[in-house]
Amino acid sequence: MALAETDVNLALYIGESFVEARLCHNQEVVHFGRWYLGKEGFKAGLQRFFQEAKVQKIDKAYVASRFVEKILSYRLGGSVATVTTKGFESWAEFRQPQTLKVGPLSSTELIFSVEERCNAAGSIEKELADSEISELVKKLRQKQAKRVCIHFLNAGKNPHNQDKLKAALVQESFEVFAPAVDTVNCDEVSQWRKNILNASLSGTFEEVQDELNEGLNGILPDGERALFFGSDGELFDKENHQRLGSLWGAAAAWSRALQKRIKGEFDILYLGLEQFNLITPLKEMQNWNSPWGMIRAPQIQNALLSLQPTTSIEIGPWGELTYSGNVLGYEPGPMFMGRGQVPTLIDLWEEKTASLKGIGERRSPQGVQKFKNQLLALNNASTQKVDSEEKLFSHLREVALHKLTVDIVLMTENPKVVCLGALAPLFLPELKKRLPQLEFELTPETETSLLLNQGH
Amino acid sequence: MLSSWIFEFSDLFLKNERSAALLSRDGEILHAKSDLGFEATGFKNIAESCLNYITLKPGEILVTNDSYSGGSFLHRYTFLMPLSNAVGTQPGILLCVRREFAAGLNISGKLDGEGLRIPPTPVFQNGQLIMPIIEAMSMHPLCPQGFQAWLQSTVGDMAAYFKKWSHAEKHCKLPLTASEFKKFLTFSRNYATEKILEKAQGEARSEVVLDGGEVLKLHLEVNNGLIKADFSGTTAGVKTFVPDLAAFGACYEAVAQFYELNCLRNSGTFSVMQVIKPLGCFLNAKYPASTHQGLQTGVAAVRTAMVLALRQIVRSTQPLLSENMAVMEVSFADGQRWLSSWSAKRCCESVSLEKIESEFPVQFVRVEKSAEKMHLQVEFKTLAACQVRWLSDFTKQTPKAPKGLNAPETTQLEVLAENGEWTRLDSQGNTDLAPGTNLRLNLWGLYSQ
Repeated sequence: MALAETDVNLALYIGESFVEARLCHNQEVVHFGRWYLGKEGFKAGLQRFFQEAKVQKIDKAYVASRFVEKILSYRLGGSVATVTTKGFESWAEFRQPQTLKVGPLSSTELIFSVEERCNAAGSIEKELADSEISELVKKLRQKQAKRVCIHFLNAGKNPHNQDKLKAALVQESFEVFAPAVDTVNCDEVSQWRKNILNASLSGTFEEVQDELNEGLNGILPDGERALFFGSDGELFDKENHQRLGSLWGAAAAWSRALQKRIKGEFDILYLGLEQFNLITPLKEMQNWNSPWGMIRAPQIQNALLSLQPTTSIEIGPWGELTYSGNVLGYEPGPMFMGRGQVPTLIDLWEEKTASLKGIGERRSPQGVQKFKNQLLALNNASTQKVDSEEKLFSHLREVALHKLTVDIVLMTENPKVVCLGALAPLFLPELKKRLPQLEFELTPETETSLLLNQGH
Repeated sequence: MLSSWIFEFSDLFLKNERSAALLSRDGEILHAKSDLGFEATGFKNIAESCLNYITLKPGEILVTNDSYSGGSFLHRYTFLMPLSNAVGTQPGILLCVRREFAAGLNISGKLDGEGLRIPPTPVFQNGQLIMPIIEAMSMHPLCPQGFQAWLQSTVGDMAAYFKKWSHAEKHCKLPLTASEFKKFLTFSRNYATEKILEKAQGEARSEVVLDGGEVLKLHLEVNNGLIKADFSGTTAGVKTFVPDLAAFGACYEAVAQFYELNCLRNSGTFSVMQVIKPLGCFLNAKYPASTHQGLQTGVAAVRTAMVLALRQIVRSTQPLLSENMAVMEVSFADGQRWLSSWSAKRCCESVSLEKIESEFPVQFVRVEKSAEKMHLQVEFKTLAACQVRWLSDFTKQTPKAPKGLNAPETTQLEVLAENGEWTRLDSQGNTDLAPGTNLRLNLWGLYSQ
């Protein structure tokens, strides 16, 4: 295709298991694709995408990514050490809510402390001694730590000791993370959690970036790299303190793009392949209620609906067949894709996903049959059996739609609701019927087309 | 419609509250939650006692903080609002929201000396705030500063709930009928019974001696999935007085945690529990006895006794953590007050050391917690003259542990004397401290096998 190189832009929306890609030339779609990461990685997927599009050069690549969420689930940690003020080694762990079943952010054997103290007025009461630093470096080397987080009390008021240690550790070739100065937030543990998450994500995030940029090598102009959306909708590349914020980059970018087109206040109902959530573009949330406790992370207000596409269907505590609190994701995925072992919400609508790129081609007739058999077996084991397959399916669909309806009623803040996402056309007609008081609008734009409509 | 829809709907409707409940207008708790646990059962009493004497239309609001009407500490205020009226087969719905304001450590011989006590009182009717009543409350010498503005803002939040409810009721086709509620509560009771039946049944005894001198005696029977807690032999209150409903709530909370019923707190699950408290014992306190110490230390003692007995019945070898905690209030000459509560078992989820140091003239020396022994040590230095008041649990003796289990060491609150030695303080009291004085708290949480 003969296109002016400088006018072609790529947008990628990376979920936990799918990548959606869109190439646009002067806002016109050149090519669209979606692939399953379990089958094809970033680099291979991008190369195939560009071959199909017959495009050799692009100007810019923009990425909104929720991939971090996957890292948070099971690849967190690595060799991140934490250095605290002496006497406060266990403080961050002590603050971790006990109701949430996740391990501490720092491994106990990688927590170190040094004699230093800055008071609340910002005066250094205890200067960090060089001998303390040398001793610390030895311990860090022994533990083979590569990345180090510095968490000193009141360092935001006077970072003298923090800077001194940071410079010394950088000199010793450690990758050092210090909390960003945040004058609004005076909760040290919230800042420390964010810092350690950014440090923990660092390695894997860079791997993802490298793989993407390798896939775009020769396609993007020399020296250009793919840029990621941060939680404020602004773009970042190597700024390591922004990595956690990429979780909310898509919501910020979609809100900004839609606000340009739609006047007045509205909510966004996102019904994507991997996630259902409600975004309120004009409202900002200051905190993220993370599995490790509250973290100050300003973001556009967004909330997950209580049902997600891969919420599992199980026999509940009352013996009935119902939706559980478990969201299984796409690895191995819903049963209709052939590898899953547990029925999920999206399995109930599998016929209607046949035309969806990235999903339709993965439909397995054996998987579909297995899903039906399993659901019928669960129905037989439940206390409130439904007497036919057709009624059982329709009952479970009805329960799901009712739960989604209740969520939307309780969570929407505006009468106007803009819907987007791959599954929006599938669910929206039913939701419109049930909620006539809401003014639903199905956007012609998709996740990725909105990313290209930012005015960058 | 699934049987669990009431739980799921209520949980979503109340998701922004720490302590709240939805009840039917005939007084059945459909769903309750509380960050303090023991409070959840009290909402029923608030609803019943309020609506027997006060007529409220949907959207109208009353407030109470009376510990003896199903309330909690005096700094925790319950707002009650009917969401709908009884119509045909629908009994109507009530909302209770409990919020905390200006928490303090106010210990007195009488409840009315511990703070402003508000019996159930309407504050919003016919679309208007009842200003004369609100102003009268604000004029009370023990009314906390800023109370009026806070109350008005909470009434605003309640009005938003009413709007949300009306919206949901209209569009979500919820079958809010008496038969549906009965079905749900029966399901809940059966669920709780089955969970209890999964573990061994039997009986056990436990005993806890409190610092105030009270002795708590428990005979616990777990039989056919039902639980009977008999506190016969428990002595009268000396310093510790637990209102009847809080004692029941503390028992239920221990059961709910032990059998993992945590998500379900409703009249159905509460009905698996029977609590017998002899008249005159400190678990059956009556107005005007003070309640602050009872709601902290007394409730901790009840929970400890329950857990010790339950563990004997099921022969548990799981780690056991102590319920004890210490609360300190440091007051400075400029009127500033810093209140903190510490426990080796619970986490300090929202405490920021930097924030405390920037707001009050104190500096932390260490806050260390050993995960192995569940030993928490907090040490801080006062930077200005102040008065410190404190209340700690189990400083004289630890609860009597059954054979094979060793109770942790007792709580210690110590002050660093001029001679450089740590001096141990009583379990409760107050003292003036000079600038530069170090105060240290040691709490041990783990019972060892």
